[in-house]
Amino acid sequence: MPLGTFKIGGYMKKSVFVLALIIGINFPIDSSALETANELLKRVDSKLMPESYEAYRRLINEEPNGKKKEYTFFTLKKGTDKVALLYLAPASEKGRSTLRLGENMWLFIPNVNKPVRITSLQSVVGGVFNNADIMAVEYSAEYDAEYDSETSKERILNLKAKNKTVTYDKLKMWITKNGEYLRKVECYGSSGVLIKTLEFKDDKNFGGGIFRPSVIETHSPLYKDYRSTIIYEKIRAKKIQPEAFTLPFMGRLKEFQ
Amino acid sequence: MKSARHIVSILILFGSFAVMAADEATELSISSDSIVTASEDSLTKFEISGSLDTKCSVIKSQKSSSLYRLQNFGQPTVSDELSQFLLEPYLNGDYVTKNIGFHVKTHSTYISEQTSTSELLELNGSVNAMPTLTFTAGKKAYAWGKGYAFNPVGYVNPTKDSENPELAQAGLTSLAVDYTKSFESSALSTLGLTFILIPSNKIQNRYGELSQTDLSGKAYFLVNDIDVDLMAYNSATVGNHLGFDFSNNILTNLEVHGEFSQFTNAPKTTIDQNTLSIQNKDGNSYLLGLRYLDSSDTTVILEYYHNGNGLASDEFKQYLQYVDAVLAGGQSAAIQTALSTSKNYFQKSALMRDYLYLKVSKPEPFNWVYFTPSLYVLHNLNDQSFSVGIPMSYKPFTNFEFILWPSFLVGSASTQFGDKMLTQRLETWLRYSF
Repeated sequence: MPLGTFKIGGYMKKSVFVLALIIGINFPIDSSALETANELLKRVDSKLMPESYEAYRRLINEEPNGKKKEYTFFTLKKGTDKVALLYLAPASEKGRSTLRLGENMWLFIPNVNKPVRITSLQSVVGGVFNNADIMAVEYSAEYDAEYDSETSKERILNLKAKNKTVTYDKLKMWITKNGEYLRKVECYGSSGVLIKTLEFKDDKNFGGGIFRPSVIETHSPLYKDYRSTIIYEKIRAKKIQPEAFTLPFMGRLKEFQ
Repeated sequence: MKSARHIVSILILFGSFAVMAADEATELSISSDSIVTASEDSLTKFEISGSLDTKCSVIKSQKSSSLYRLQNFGQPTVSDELSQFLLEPYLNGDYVTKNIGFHVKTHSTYISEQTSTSELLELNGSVNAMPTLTFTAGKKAYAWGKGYAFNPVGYVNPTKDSENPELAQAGLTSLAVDYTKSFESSALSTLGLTFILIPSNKIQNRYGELSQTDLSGKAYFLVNDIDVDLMAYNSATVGNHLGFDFSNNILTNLEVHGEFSQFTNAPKTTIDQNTLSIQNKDGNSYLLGLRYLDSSDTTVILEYYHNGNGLASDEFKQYLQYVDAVLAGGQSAAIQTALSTSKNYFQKSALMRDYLYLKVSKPEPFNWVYFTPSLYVLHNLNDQSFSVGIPMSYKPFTNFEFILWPSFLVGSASTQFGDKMLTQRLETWLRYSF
């Protein structure tokens, strides 16, 4: 074996060691790189929503001429797929409530005085958000994820609905590189058409360890120049009686405020 | 106006109660900051809400109909086209905490100083003995059944107006116990049990017959994503009823529902040889319906209803013949009796045996935001008469709704919708909510 070759080999080993040291210092090995796309999705869910919580939210629908309509909701969520929502304002809608258990949804109108089944694609309040958006459950409950690609700041996941009853067939999701925050979701129908885009903005500390985007803005090529925004005013982790998520309690959600 | 004064008194009393409750919370421990919150909390838990409907109607009368002549017997002659300007305030008060609730709902109509009425739709209080167990006493509106326009299992429901099923109606004086339990099981997710005791509503000298106290019960199950109710009603006056209903989304955009009721000894009112006849009957009633949402956001509701204790075509004709005979006789006392009989027994919108109901509504057509036109048809399959309405709702501003509602009653003579007092009506509603 020529000596020179040995020398060159030793130089290369040193170079690799130094390079590894530099990489190790400046680009620490991200343990999350080992997590699967589905695990990352669950982590995003847990940052967005505590397992059980109450929230106060405002929804603003904006028309192309700038005219706005605003709604206020009191929301309860438990587990991965139970959401109850009570309308607090405006007065014309006050007392209405909606309930979501998985893909089953109901609407309660005080005058009608009984729950009526509704579908996820409908919009009780009009505007770009539909019932599934307003009563969003955990993404990992409805979708399987795989890695797509990444940008300098974000990872991109492709999500496929677990079954045909899920509102959107596919989602494309942008998550910050540390896997902590959701930034954008594109929603596609079964034909591959883009139905709407949700943008997650204005990260806010709500207390109790809840730090998440406080604004979700949506626009849709199907509703040109319309814009709808959900603003989280308060979120608080809370133990909630499971009966809050039943039909007999739809007219009684005020008891939980 | 006496009843209006009663309702105002109830609201004032109700408000006083809420303020007292708030004061009490403050007095409990003045030194603590958290109690200040409790006081504010009690005040915010008391809410007054309501709406004012201002309705303007133009109607085209049908002077030849038996019912028009009965209703207007002895009145001065008026023209075919009439108008009405009506105010309908709805006033509600609610006080709700984690453990107790009080609710009052009132409705008034004002046409003139001489023609105004007020009614108490609901007045009840409830106590949560446990998170899952609630006792309610007072006047309360129940809504049993899954049907939109009809409810054969709605034993405790107010009588529904099938042409406007979303109208608030007066409740039932009752005592009720509700038990609700949620399960993690995917098969049975929810169990709800309701028992209701209904005192006699035939009051004489402020008392009713104890033996005419009715009992009713309902069990609700959410099982395999299907809503199922089983219900029973036991009564010495309106017979015994057993029934069930169901509702399920068989597709994401298609819901199906149904109701079935078996009754025994249920009174059926007919006119036999120009006299009122009430006979107890056994039979069944049922409803099948669907709610469909298409890709353009159009909702279709379709329901078929069989009313087992309803009138056959011949029986309805006998009723009209009785009215005609009384009018021909011209005796004031007999006419008053016929008027009372008509109002008490023959005014329901689902009076006969078989009906088909269709409603189509399309929110924001042609990108006209906050505008929702609808079309409904209530078709009497026994005599082929029908009622058609085209309510158009527009909500340009928050808490304000404008409704334009033309409706038409179509049918030949001696049919349910063909023999009404009017043939056409155009209503405009201005509704302000607060």
